[in-house]
Amino acid sequence: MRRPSRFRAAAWLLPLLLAGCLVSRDTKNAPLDQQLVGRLEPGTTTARDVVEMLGAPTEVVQLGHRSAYRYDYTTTKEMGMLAVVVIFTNKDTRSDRLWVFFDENEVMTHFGKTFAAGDTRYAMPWEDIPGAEETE
Amino acid sequence: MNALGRQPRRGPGPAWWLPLLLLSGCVGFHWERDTRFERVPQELCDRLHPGSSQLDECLAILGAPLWVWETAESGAPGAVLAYGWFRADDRLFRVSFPLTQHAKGNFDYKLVDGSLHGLVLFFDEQWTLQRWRRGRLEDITADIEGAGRLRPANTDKT
Repeated sequence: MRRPSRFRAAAWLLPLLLAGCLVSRDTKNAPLDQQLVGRLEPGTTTARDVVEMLGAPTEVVQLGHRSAYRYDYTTTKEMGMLAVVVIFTNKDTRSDRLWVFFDENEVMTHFGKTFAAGDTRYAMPWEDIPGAEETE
Repeated sequence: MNALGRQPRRGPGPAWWLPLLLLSGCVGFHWERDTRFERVPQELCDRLHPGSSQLDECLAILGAPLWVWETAESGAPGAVLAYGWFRADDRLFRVSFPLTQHAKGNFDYKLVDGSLHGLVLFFDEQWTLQRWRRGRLEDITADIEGAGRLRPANTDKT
């Protein structure tokens, strides 16, 4: 028995429409070691100690006679679907960040840390990414 | 009538989607969502007290900023810490067509619902918080020298 041509057309069409699926992961810089960051002590740790522990910073900012070093590790996860004339994608980017502030003698005075790279998620456009509240 | 004596089948065949395929390079519908970094909740901003909050206190509340810049407001040296977050939910219908051998035309209809928002903290030389502002980073940092070159170019959607 022959199948109706409509089904044969659909059998052709389906693989064409679902021709492309996209899953990608991108990282920037090296991951930050939370244990090493935990060893930072304001008033004691020097710029040299920080560089020996964490390596070269991503950025150095001069603040008058003082300075600040930035370390960051960024991850991006993207998921999508590419049909014939339709492209759906959803991308999530988060980072681990560390800013270390030094006085004029290159002794650390403050530091701020954020570890969020591990929260990066894959999702399709119709799925909400947890923690990604709407902007105001 | 074919060789077997059957009437050829009529009705929609596979050819109806052929124009769609042929036009796939010229027309397209894109739905793109993009999330970058974490939004700073308003309730955390409410815990910042200009004139008394110190840098270490602000860093403990907000974590590490995305950018730090030097400022010299009214001749007094200081620093700016900027936090940013980006949410986009773009639906784009695109038609492109060749005009000449070396040019092509585009017609885009785009509904953009996203831009880089952020929180900017202004500190004096003693690391005391002077003020903070929340809103579009592009507007808040417009007067800060050096902020322009560090503003993330990848938020410019085309």
